[in-house]
Amino acid sequence: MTNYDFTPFELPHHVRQLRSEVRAFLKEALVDYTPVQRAHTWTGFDSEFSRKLGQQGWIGMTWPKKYGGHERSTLERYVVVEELLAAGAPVAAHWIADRQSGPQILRFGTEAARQRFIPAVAKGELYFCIGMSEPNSGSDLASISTHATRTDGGWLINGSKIWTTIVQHAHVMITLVRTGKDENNRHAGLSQFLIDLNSPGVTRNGITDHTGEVHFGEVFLDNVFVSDDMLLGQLGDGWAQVNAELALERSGPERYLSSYQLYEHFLGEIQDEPSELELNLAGNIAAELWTLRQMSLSVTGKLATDKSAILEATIVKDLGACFEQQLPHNIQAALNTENNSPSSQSTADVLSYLLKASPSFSLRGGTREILRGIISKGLGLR
Amino acid sequence: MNEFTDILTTSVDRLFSDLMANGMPETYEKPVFDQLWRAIEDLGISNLLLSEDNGGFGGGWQDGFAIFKQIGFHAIPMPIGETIIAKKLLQDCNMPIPDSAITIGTAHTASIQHDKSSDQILFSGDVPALPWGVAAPTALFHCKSQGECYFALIATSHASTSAQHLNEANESRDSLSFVNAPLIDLKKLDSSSNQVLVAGALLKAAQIAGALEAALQLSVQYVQERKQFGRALSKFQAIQHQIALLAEHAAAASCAANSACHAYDKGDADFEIAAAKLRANRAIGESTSIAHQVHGAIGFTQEHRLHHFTQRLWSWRGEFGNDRHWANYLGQQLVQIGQTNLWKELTNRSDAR
Ligand SMILES: Cc1cc2nc3c(=O)[nH]c(=O)nc-3n(C[C@H](O)[C@H](O)[C@H](O)COP(=O)(O)OP(=O)(O)OC[C@H]3O[C@@H](n4cnc5c(N)ncnc54)[C@H](O)[C@@H]3O)c2cc1C
Repeated sequence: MTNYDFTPFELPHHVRQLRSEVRAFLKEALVDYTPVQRAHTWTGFDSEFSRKLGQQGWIGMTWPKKYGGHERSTLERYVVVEELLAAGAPVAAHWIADRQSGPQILRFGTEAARQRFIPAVAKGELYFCIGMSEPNSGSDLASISTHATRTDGGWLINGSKIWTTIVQHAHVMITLVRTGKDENNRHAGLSQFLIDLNSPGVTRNGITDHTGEVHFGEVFLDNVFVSDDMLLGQLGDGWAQVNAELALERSGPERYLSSYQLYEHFLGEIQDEPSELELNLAGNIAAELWTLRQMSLSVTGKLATDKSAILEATIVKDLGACFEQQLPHNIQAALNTENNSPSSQSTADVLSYLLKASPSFSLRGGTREILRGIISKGLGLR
Repeated sequence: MNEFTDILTTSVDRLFSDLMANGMPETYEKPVFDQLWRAIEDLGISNLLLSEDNGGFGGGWQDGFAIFKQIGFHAIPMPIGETIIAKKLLQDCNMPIPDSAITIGTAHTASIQHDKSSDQILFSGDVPALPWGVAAPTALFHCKSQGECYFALIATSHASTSAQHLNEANESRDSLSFVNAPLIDLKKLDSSSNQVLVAGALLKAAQIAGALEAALQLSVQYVQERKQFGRALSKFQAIQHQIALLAEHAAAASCAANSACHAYDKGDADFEIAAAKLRANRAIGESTSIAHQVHGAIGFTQEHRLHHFTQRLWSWRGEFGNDRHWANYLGQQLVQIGQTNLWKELTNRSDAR
């Protein structure tokens, strides 16, 4: 009847064992983590933690063993990822590399690039960032002006990128640049390059966001040389590749769990003699959370059998972002406060942090408007 | 979906399309009801969840979902889902299974007496909002008497008074009162969880998903046909984004109801069904507002089909538990589970056992 399909999917029995392993590990690894640190989930940066996770074999889980991967299933990776997010583990350092850059290199990269980067990523030691957005190109990504010109044995890249998450810590940036122009097709002539951020000509600055923290930044590329084998995929195929990459970026459980920590705190707040108003909100959030998880699992089930789920993933991301964005506001509205603060200081701190962080949930990884455009297309409206 | 569900869905889709080909039948009239019921029974759909020994298809709740959703998608004004559920619940507790339309409901102020002279069990009580309570020959009630919970199976003709009511979509929601009426059968239940309410909520959640999908389809078609300012409405981004949101709600309701059916097939699913009904309910306000908005005035007419779906949605939101009911239920469950066990419990309930 419709163009999307959300058949229920059940994770197999054996993931229970894996869950307990991850939980036991996290219990120890996160002992000293404050509630606000946990509330950062996938924006919390801790390279020590990422290294430990690599030792556990929980980065690059699905990748070939010959590149340092572990050849485990998509479903096992899903379970580890959702456990990390639910616990509020600081996964930012390896997050992008594990979720999209690694798979992108395995799929499109040269053998040299695979050998050079993938094993170190799987160890939790090498970090990637995504160089797509530019000062004058956000939603309209095809309008970028950073460009590469041919030189002996490689390319010279000039331009700049902005809003680049963890750029100040990352080692490599997968960078979308212009390598040609076709007056009739603005999506043609784009290519992806692997840029070593320690190369001469690279300047990076952190940008402080309105939570007062530095998570993203800007990069200036001034005649930066990249060798031929650091071209990712085919020359001129950048647009299709970027879209494949964004699909990886949009389907995971991170798209509805960003405020999950606050929900746990809220349940703590209402533990004794909850009012009907509080029960009501707790129930409404539970229904939404449970549904989003079922939807996300359904997408995972499809991806695990190599089916495409672009429309479904987009639907989950938009619903998930609306949910996690509204959650702090709904909880603030319902909290029983005295002198303007809830009974526990950690609830107050987590709420305050998430109120500030939440506007980004519907921007990063494709804005709400871009996602609804994709859904309209899927419905045949454009 | 397995092959059986596929075939079933296709034949039910055809039957339902035929039933509705001449407009919305007025099934609150008993003769119309009886005639339609015979057509439905020719396919044997109401035996969907019965075992093959009991003359059924041996289907599960996920097969049920396929039918329930179609009932919503085609706006079928008959207690098909109710009968499927009643037969399944009756089978599960070894009660006799009547060969008729069976409605389901929860009785208030019930009293149950054993009449020694006639060796009959007599039932007194009021049952509000019974789907086709007057037209359906039999009813299955959940009731409480002296601290015990029961399923009571009764012929609706024994009602001492009956009042016909219609919901917003002209579906029968009748009130029946019984005074010392003989029961066909009575069963004392071990659990206090009202499975008539729970299964009914699941049915409504799936029907809501179907009606939302119908409203979505009508909207998508209409904005492609209707032109203003020299182009199809579908070319305006404001329209596209509203319909995208409607699709998101329809997808969420459908996934929730289907997943809850999946959980019900595995065992206790009170939590999942509560979540699914609540999520489906929450989709209704914004979705119906969007569907009507993009249809303009034509969608506000009696003649246009849109109201068959939107009016059902508004009715169904309140039936078998409105938002407040299920949100409070879930809230209580969550407070019991507690902050530190929440994630454990969520995953434990869903991972394969
Ligand atoms: C926390 C965070 C982390 C990020 N990390 C990265 C990163 O690692 N790498 C990277 O490359 N980028 C990153 N981004 C950038 C992100 O991808 C962009 O913010 C996003 O693509 C939108 O671009 P913009 O900010 O320039 O907004 P604009 O494109 O200028 O849009 C502003 C508003 O207008 C709307 N709009 C734009 N075009 C249309 C249209 N055609 N129709 C309707 N509405 C429209 C947008 O939806 C948005 O609401 C990050 C952003 C944030 C907030």
